[in-house]
Amino acid sequence: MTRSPRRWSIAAVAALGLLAGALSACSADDRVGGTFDTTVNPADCGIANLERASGPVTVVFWHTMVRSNLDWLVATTKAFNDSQDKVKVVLRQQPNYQDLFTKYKAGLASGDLPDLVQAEETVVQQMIDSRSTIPVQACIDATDYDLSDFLPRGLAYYETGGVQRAMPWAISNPVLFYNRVAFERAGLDPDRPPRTLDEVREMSEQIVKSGAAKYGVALKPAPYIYEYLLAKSGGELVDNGNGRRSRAQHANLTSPTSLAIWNWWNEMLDDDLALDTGSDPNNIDHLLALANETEGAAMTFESSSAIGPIDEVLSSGAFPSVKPGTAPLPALTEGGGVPVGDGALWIPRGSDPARRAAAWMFIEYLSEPAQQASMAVAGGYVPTVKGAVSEPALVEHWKAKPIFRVGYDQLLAGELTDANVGTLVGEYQGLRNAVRDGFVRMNRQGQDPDEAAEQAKAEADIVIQEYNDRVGA
Amino acid sequence: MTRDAVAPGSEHLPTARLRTHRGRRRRDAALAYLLVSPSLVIFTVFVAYPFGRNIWLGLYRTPPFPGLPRRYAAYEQYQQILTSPEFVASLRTTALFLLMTVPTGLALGLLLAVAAHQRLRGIAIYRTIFSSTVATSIAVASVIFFTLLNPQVGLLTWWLGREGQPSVLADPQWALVAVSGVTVWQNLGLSFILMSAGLQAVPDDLLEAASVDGAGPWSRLVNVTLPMLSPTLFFSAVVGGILSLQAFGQIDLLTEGGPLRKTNVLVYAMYDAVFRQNNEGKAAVLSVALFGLTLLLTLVQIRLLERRVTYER
Amino acid sequence: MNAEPTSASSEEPATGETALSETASTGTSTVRSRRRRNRTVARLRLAARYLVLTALAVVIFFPIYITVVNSLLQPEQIAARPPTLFPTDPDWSSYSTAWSQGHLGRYLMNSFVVTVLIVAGQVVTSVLAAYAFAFLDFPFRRTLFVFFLATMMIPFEVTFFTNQATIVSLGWYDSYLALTVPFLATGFGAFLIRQSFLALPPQLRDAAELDGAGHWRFLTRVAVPLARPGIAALALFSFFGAFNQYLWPLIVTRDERLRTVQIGLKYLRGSQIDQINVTFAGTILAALPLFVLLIVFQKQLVRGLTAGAVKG
Repeated sequence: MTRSPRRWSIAAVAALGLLAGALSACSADDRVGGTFDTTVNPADCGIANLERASGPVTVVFWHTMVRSNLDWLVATTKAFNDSQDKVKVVLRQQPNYQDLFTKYKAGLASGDLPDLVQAEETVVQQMIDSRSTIPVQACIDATDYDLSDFLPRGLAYYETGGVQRAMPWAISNPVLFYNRVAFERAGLDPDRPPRTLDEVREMSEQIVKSGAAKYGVALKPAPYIYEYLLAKSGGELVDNGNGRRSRAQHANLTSPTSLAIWNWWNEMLDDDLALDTGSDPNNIDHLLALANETEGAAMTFESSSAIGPIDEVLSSGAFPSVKPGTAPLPALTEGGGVPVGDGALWIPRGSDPARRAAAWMFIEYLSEPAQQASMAVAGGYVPTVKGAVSEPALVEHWKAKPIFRVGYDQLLAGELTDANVGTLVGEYQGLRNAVRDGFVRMNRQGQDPDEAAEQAKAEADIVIQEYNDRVGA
Repeated sequence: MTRDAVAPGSEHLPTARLRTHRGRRRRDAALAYLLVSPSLVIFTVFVAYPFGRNIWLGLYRTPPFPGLPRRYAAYEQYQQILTSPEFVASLRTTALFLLMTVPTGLALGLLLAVAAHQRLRGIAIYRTIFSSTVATSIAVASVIFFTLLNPQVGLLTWWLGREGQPSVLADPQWALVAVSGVTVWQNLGLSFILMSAGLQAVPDDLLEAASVDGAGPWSRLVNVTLPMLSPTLFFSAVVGGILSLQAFGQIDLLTEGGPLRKTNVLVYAMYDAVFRQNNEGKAAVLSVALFGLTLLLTLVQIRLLERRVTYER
Repeated sequence: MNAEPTSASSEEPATGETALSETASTGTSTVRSRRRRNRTVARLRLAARYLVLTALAVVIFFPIYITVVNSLLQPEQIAARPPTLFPTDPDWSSYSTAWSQGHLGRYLMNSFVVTVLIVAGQVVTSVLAAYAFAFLDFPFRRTLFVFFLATMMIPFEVTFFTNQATIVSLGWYDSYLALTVPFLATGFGAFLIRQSFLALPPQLRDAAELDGAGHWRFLTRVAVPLARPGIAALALFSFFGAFNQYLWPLIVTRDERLRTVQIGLKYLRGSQIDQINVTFAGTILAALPLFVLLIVFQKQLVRGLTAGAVKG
């Protein structure tokens, strides 16, 4: 060593100091690619590259569609591929959202990534943190795409810092399911389902007293049901404006609104007005309870995407004592709104620019009123654009089966607030696990609702902070 | 796969033939390196390297996505994770699982072995049945019981009088017991085979002598068979303990670590940390803990081996 | 299956008892009646023994039995209460459904390919390394041997996720390489075979040397044939380990075409209630190969497993 080690180390320290200063000047969330970064580069969308491309450009699309939705997607994709010769979409079905996202994250290291990917609403923050996609805003700007026909709630979940990150596509939201026959038997008006949780309780009392059903409502302690009750009641799930003003640091599980829901839930079970059907995510006992005359319930909460399967089972004629009704989700108060749930489309940054533009072309096609209407008819998803509602196919469908409309109506209702456009938090699944465990402790082990919420909050906070720490926020 | 639990024991490398001259020696050495190299490469890449990397990775907070920087946290991360309530709970679950599976498994295996250790017509059929669960993998056993415990149509659900209730596997009080039960059943065949082999090694004349002295079957079991069998028993207990620390398949198939993390054994916690939370640093710390526990049991085993060796001589 | 040995029991008197009564026989009627009573007691005892054995067998075998029964029933019959314990009208279609629609055929094939590669690999690498340790002298022999032994102290469950990362970075994710290469060598195997080699009489090597046989000839013609029991034990042991692997194939493959049968079961498990008979059938198909092995090679298997678990 001929160079002076001291001089080198001084230079190194100085450089590090400069670097640290630069880093601390803005938070990780405002940096390029961060959650609230507002820079959008239209060239990222690669429209010009697609125009210059000689042969057809292939788009590999990872999705999670099954059954009638899959049939619809296959047919629609074929129609798109046949309608032009610039873009060819190749479908790659994944078993479910969780497996798809696990595979996506593995792909970030190995490079095995699609050109277009469907993901659920809980992964928005992680998608942003991974910096692995381009904001679709780049394509919107590059093509002067008109968003005015979209449901505002559909867009709002996926927008941060004024930048659209992903496009809503196959959307749904939890609603109230009830048995009109049981309502009639209990002397209730089947056209006037409950609008608040208090009304759910009152009507449950009447249903149980009249013997119309053993329980008023079947409650599945699934975290998303709690989250939607909370959102529609105006409660934020996490702090810092539900994670939408700056990065969430804590869960708001012990806010007065949240505690009111935990307590409502607990009292419904304690007073035998509600049936607890267990937290197993694959279990559909709360839906089966609607059809069970001796041990069942007259109401339950579930995603609007379940309307199709339920309608299919009940219209078989095997259950004459069940006539399904649907209504907006009740909440602590009237007049609230719910966030959008289910599938949105993201464009990975790793694909070459022509493929990104090709993926965007397919998104535009899927968002046309005709496609959104036929998807709503085929599988019961809520259309993302208002224009779909006047498409003859959907008009016909909703006229024949009015119960399918509710998810759409509910998304139009209520003012948009931080609480009800969707939660942004990194380790969303960890937060949900904590909530689920809290409900199990309250429902099964007799833990006091306030304590259960308290413990769930403590567990969730650890998970949130651990994630923030690791992502460098 | 088991790559565990074998003690070095006493080692006598055979003395080299002394007549060799230098060229031959060099050729022999070259050949030897050639012969060990396939194994050596695999051990280096898939055992030594990942083991070292895990210890090192435990010092870092790792990002949830590739491309972001990992941050050096020194021993802080070890300290934080190893004292966290989550880890303590996981450790407790792992220990409970060991205690519920290993002694029960050995006792039942011994019972079967004693029952089948007699000269009767048709005993071979019973032996085959008793060892039959050797042919079931943990996945087969888990899926059989998962279906039998199905809350709607499961036969065991009906026998337990739990119809209309959430499955035993969703019950925080019983889930670990159920998982342990499935494990014991799956290991019963192996346990029976090991205990039978142990019994066969007990000299018949010893038992006959006891019989002549007027010892009944129970007294013969307690006073002759068990003491003769104790080295095998201790040894199987330790090996079984080490294997039980590695339980994963039954947890993944039956409970996925729940309910309330009551079945979140160490290996499952590692799996969860890596593939659900994308937290390699945390998994690395847990893996070092798992190694520590394995080492502890291995040391016990080496101790036992040494003692057994001295008994035998 | 269980009734048969019980009915055969009357033919075989319990040895001790009869011998006693035989010596006591003198021909008087009291003695004859006592002898008859003794014989009755002996028969009762024998019956009791069979009863206990049969009861144990029933309990142990029941889960497998009921799985077979349920695989032959319609889903409605499976849900019926009281349960059907014997299929009066067996429906074998669930097996063909599991085989073709459930892809059990392909999964079993994958499992066999992977298992055969691993067993062959482990036997070959172990024999080679064991030969070096047993018959050759070379620098660092002791150190290397200790290193081999030390690998056994690190369970695969300690390193699985880092190994998965290695597989990904080698570009082997979703391939037979990923499923087999990490298991192509085992410290246990090298140890076991080395012990077998050391047990051979040392004169053999000297004799071979006088004959002018090289190492290769000695290894293939003398050492390996004579160490066959040890090699068979290793092969059986690794066969079971490889065939039953769960964690590793779960994390290094996602492509359905590479799925092993154990992982196939995971997906079969999640199927709907209206296909639950197919789940049962698939489970039986997945277990069948080892059952056949168990029945055909029972003796060797017992030896292999005992060697693996106790002496190892």
